Amino acid sequence: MLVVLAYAAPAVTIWAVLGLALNSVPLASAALAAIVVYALFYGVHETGGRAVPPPPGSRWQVPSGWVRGVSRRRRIMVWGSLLGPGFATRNPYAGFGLLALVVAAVGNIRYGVPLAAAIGLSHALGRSFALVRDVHGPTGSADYIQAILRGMRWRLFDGYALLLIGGIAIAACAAGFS
Amino acid sequence: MRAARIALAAGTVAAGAGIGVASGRSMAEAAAAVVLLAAANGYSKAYSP
Repeated sequence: MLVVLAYAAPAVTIWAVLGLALNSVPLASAALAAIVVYALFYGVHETGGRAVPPPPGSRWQVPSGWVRGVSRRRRIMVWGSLLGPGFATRNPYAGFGLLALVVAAVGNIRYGVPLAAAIGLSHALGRSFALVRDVHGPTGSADYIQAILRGMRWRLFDGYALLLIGGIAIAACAAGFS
Repeated sequence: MRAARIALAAGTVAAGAGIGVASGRSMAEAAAAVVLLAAANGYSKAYSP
Protein backbone atom coordinates (compact mmCIF):
# COMPACT_ATOMS: atom_id res chain seq x y z
CA MET A 1 0.00 0.00 0.00
CA LEU A 2 2.88 2.36 0.85
CA VAL A 3 4.45 1.60 -2.53
CA VAL A 4 1.25 2.48 -4.40
CA LEU A 5 0.80 5.71 -2.41
CA ALA A 6 4.46 6.70 -2.81
CA TYR A 7 4.16 6.33 -6.60
CA ALA A 8 0.63 7.73 -7.05
CA ALA A 9 0.68 10.91 -4.95
CA PRO A 10 3.67 12.61 -6.67
CA ALA A 11 2.46 11.44 -10.09
CA VAL A 12 -1.01 12.94 -9.68
CA THR A 13 0.47 16.20 -8.35
CA ILE A 14 3.10 16.61 -11.08
CA TRP A 15 0.73 15.66 -13.91
CA ALA A 16 -2.00 17.97 -12.59
CA VAL A 17 0.49 20.88 -12.51
CA LEU A 18 1.58 19.97 -16.04
CA GLY A 19 -2.07 19.91 -17.14
CA LEU A 20 -2.58 23.34 -15.64
CA ALA A 21 0.54 24.75 -17.33
CA LEU A 22 -0.10 23.21 -20.76
CA ASN A 23 -3.74 24.32 -20.82
CA SER A 24 -3.00 27.85 -19.68
CA VAL A 25 -1.46 28.67 -23.06
CA PRO A 26 -3.06 28.27 -26.50
CA LEU A 27 -1.34 25.06 -27.62
CA ALA A 28 -4.33 22.87 -28.47
CA SER A 29 -4.29 23.07 -32.28
CA ALA A 30 -0.52 22.68 -32.56
CA ALA A 31 -0.58 19.79 -30.07
CA LEU A 32 -3.34 18.02 -32.00
CA ALA A 33 -1.33 18.26 -35.23
CA ALA A 34 1.77 17.09 -33.35
CA ILE A 35 -0.17 14.06 -32.05
CA VAL A 36 -0.99 13.00 -35.62
CA VAL A 37 2.65 13.26 -36.75
CA TYR A 38 4.12 11.70 -33.59
CA ALA A 39 1.60 8.86 -33.29
CA LEU A 40 1.83 7.82 -36.94
CA PHE A 41 5.63 8.11 -37.06
CA TYR A 42 6.31 6.05 -33.94
CA GLY A 43 3.27 3.81 -34.47
CA VAL A 44 4.56 2.72 -37.87
CA HIS A 45 8.08 2.14 -36.50
CA GLU A 46 6.95 0.20 -33.43
CA THR A 47 4.45 -2.02 -35.26
CA GLY A 48 7.10 -2.64 -37.91
CA GLY A 49 9.34 -4.10 -35.20
CA ARG A 50 11.92 -1.33 -35.43
CA ALA A 51 13.19 0.14 -32.16
CA VAL A 52 14.93 3.03 -33.92
CA PRO A 53 14.67 5.97 -33.77
CA PRO A 54 14.49 5.79 -29.98
CA PRO A 55 11.54 7.63 -28.45
CA PRO A 56 12.26 10.93 -26.71
CA GLY A 57 13.18 10.47 -23.08
CA SER A 58 15.72 10.89 -20.35
CA ARG A 59 18.82 8.78 -19.73
CA TRP A 60 19.06 10.07 -16.18
CA GLN A 61 19.21 7.46 -13.44
CA VAL A 62 18.55 7.72 -9.73
CA PRO A 63 21.96 8.38 -8.09
CA SER A 64 22.87 5.42 -5.90
CA GLY A 65 23.61 7.74 -2.98
CA TRP A 66 19.95 8.71 -2.85
CA VAL A 67 18.78 5.16 -2.14
CA ARG A 68 21.79 3.40 -0.64
CA GLY A 69 22.11 3.29 3.13
CA VAL A 70 18.72 4.87 3.78
CA SER A 71 15.61 3.42 5.37
CA ARG A 72 13.27 1.25 3.30
CA ARG A 73 10.49 3.81 3.66
CA ARG A 74 12.70 6.64 2.40
CA ARG A 75 13.95 4.50 -0.51
CA ILE A 76 10.37 3.80 -1.58
CA MET A 77 9.52 7.51 -1.32
CA VAL A 78 12.53 8.49 -3.49
CA TRP A 79 11.76 5.89 -6.17
CA GLY A 80 8.05 6.65 -6.04
CA SER A 81 8.57 10.39 -6.47
CA LEU A 82 10.94 9.92 -9.40
CA LEU A 83 9.50 6.91 -11.20
CA GLY A 84 5.77 7.32 -10.55
CA PRO A 85 5.28 10.40 -12.77
CA GLY A 86 7.45 8.79 -15.48
CA PHE A 87 9.54 11.78 -16.60
CA ALA A 88 12.78 11.21 -14.72
CA THR A 89 13.65 7.86 -16.21
CA ARG A 90 14.23 6.04 -19.47
CA ASN A 91 11.07 5.49 -21.53
CA PRO A 92 11.55 2.53 -23.86
CA TYR A 93 8.18 2.97 -25.61
CA ALA A 94 7.04 6.03 -27.53
CA GLY A 95 3.55 6.04 -26.00
CA PHE A 96 4.75 8.01 -23.00
CA GLY A 97 5.67 11.03 -25.13
CA LEU A 98 2.16 11.11 -26.53
CA LEU A 99 0.59 11.57 -23.10
CA ALA A 100 1.82 15.13 -22.58
CA LEU A 101 0.80 16.04 -26.15
CA VAL A 102 -2.74 14.79 -25.46
CA VAL A 103 -2.93 16.87 -22.28
CA ALA A 104 -1.83 19.94 -24.26
CA ALA A 105 -4.39 19.19 -26.97
CA VAL A 106 -7.32 19.45 -24.56
CA GLY A 107 -7.04 23.24 -24.55
CA ASN A 108 -9.27 23.63 -21.52
CA ILE A 109 -8.18 23.72 -17.87
CA ARG A 110 -11.50 22.30 -16.65
CA TYR A 111 -10.95 19.05 -18.58
CA GLY A 112 -7.19 19.17 -19.09
CA VAL A 113 -6.21 19.11 -15.41
CA PRO A 114 -8.43 16.10 -14.46
CA LEU A 115 -7.26 14.22 -17.56
CA ALA A 116 -3.61 14.93 -16.70
CA ALA A 117 -4.18 13.80 -13.09
CA ALA A 118 -5.88 10.62 -14.34
CA ILE A 119 -2.91 9.93 -16.66
CA GLY A 120 -0.48 10.44 -13.76
CA LEU A 121 -2.48 8.15 -11.47
CA SER A 122 -2.83 5.52 -14.16
CA HIS A 123 0.88 5.54 -15.00
CA ALA A 124 1.89 5.40 -11.34
CA LEU A 125 -0.48 2.52 -10.58
CA GLY A 126 0.85 0.58 -13.57
CA ARG A 127 4.42 1.26 -12.50
CA SER A 128 3.87 0.28 -8.88
CA PHE A 129 2.00 -2.90 -9.83
CA ALA A 130 4.92 -3.81 -12.11
CA LEU A 131 7.27 -3.30 -9.16
CA VAL A 132 5.18 -5.62 -7.00
CA ARG A 133 5.10 -8.12 -9.91
CA ASP A 134 8.90 -8.04 -10.20
CA VAL A 135 9.44 -8.45 -6.47
CA HIS A 136 7.30 -11.60 -6.39
CA GLY A 137 8.25 -12.94 -9.82
CA PRO A 138 11.23 -14.93 -11.10
CA THR A 139 14.60 -13.16 -11.32
CA GLY A 140 18.01 -13.89 -12.76
CA SER A 141 19.46 -14.62 -16.17
CA ALA A 142 16.89 -17.36 -16.96
CA ASP A 143 14.27 -14.62 -17.13
CA TYR A 144 16.35 -12.47 -19.52
CA ILE A 145 15.02 -13.95 -22.77
CA GLN A 146 11.47 -13.70 -21.44
CA ALA A 147 12.10 -10.04 -20.62
CA ILE A 148 13.32 -9.38 -24.19
CA LEU A 149 10.25 -11.10 -25.66
CA ARG A 150 7.97 -9.23 -23.28
CA GLY A 151 9.59 -5.95 -24.36
CA MET A 152 8.95 -6.77 -28.03
CA ARG A 153 5.29 -7.55 -27.30
CA TRP A 154 4.86 -4.31 -25.33
CA ARG A 155 6.47 -2.33 -28.17
CA LEU A 156 3.98 -3.86 -30.61
CA PHE A 157 1.08 -3.07 -28.29
CA ASP A 158 2.36 0.48 -27.84
CA GLY A 159 2.64 0.90 -31.62
CA TYR A 160 -0.95 -0.16 -32.27
CA ALA A 161 -2.18 2.07 -29.42
CA LEU A 162 -0.31 4.97 -31.04
CA LEU A 163 -1.90 4.23 -34.42
CA LEU A 164 -5.37 4.06 -32.87
CA ILE A 165 -4.94 7.37 -31.05
CA GLY A 166 -3.37 8.85 -34.18
CA GLY A 167 -6.54 7.89 -36.08
CA ILE A 168 -8.69 9.56 -33.43
CA ALA A 169 -6.51 12.67 -33.69
CA ILE A 170 -6.92 12.71 -37.49
CA ALA A 171 -10.71 12.71 -37.03
CA ALA A 172 -10.42 15.50 -34.44
CA CYS A 173 -8.25 17.55 -36.83
CA ALA A 174 -10.73 17.02 -39.68
CA ALA A 175 -13.62 18.09 -37.41
CA GLY A 176 -11.67 21.17 -36.38
CA PHE A 177 -11.01 22.28 -39.94
CA SER A 178 -14.52 21.52 -41.25
CA MET B 1 3.55 -10.98 -43.89
CA ARG B 2 4.69 -7.44 -44.59
CA ALA B 3 1.48 -6.65 -46.49
CA ALA B 4 -0.63 -8.06 -43.66
CA ARG B 5 1.23 -5.92 -41.16
CA ILE B 6 0.74 -2.79 -43.25
CA ALA B 7 -2.96 -3.61 -43.67
CA LEU B 8 -3.34 -4.12 -39.92
CA ALA B 9 -1.60 -0.81 -39.19
CA ALA B 10 -3.77 1.03 -41.72
CA GLY B 11 -6.87 -0.66 -40.33
CA THR B 12 -5.94 0.45 -36.81
CA VAL B 13 -5.59 4.08 -37.95
CA ALA B 14 -8.94 3.80 -39.75
CA ALA B 15 -10.55 2.31 -36.63
CA GLY B 16 -9.20 5.20 -34.58
CA ALA B 17 -10.59 7.70 -37.09
CA GLY B 18 -13.94 5.90 -36.93
CA ILE B 19 -13.94 6.15 -33.14
CA GLY B 20 -13.08 9.84 -33.41
CA VAL B 21 -15.91 10.54 -35.85
CA ALA B 22 -18.41 8.49 -33.82
CA SER B 23 -17.55 10.21 -30.55
CA GLY B 24 -17.98 13.66 -32.09
CA ARG B 25 -16.87 16.51 -29.88
CA SER B 26 -17.00 14.62 -26.57
CA MET B 27 -13.68 12.78 -27.09
CA ALA B 28 -14.42 10.64 -24.03
CA GLU B 29 -13.24 7.54 -25.88
CA ALA B 30 -9.95 9.23 -26.75
CA ALA B 31 -9.43 10.21 -23.10
CA ALA B 32 -10.16 6.64 -21.97
CA ALA B 33 -7.72 5.25 -24.55
CA VAL B 34 -5.00 7.62 -23.37
CA VAL B 35 -5.52 6.77 -19.68
CA LEU B 36 -5.29 3.06 -20.55
CA LEU B 37 -2.13 3.73 -22.57
CA ALA B 38 -0.63 5.49 -19.53
CA ALA B 39 -1.36 2.45 -17.33
CA ALA B 40 0.13 0.07 -19.90
CA ASN B 41 3.18 2.30 -20.30
CA GLY B 42 3.80 2.37 -16.55
CA TYR B 43 3.30 -1.37 -16.21
CA SER B 44 5.48 -2.28 -19.18
CA LYS B 45 8.61 -0.53 -17.95
CA ALA B 46 11.16 -2.76 -16.36
CA TYR B 47 12.08 -1.94 -12.81
CA SER B 48 15.38 -0.24 -13.62
CA PRO B 49 15.77 3.12 -11.86
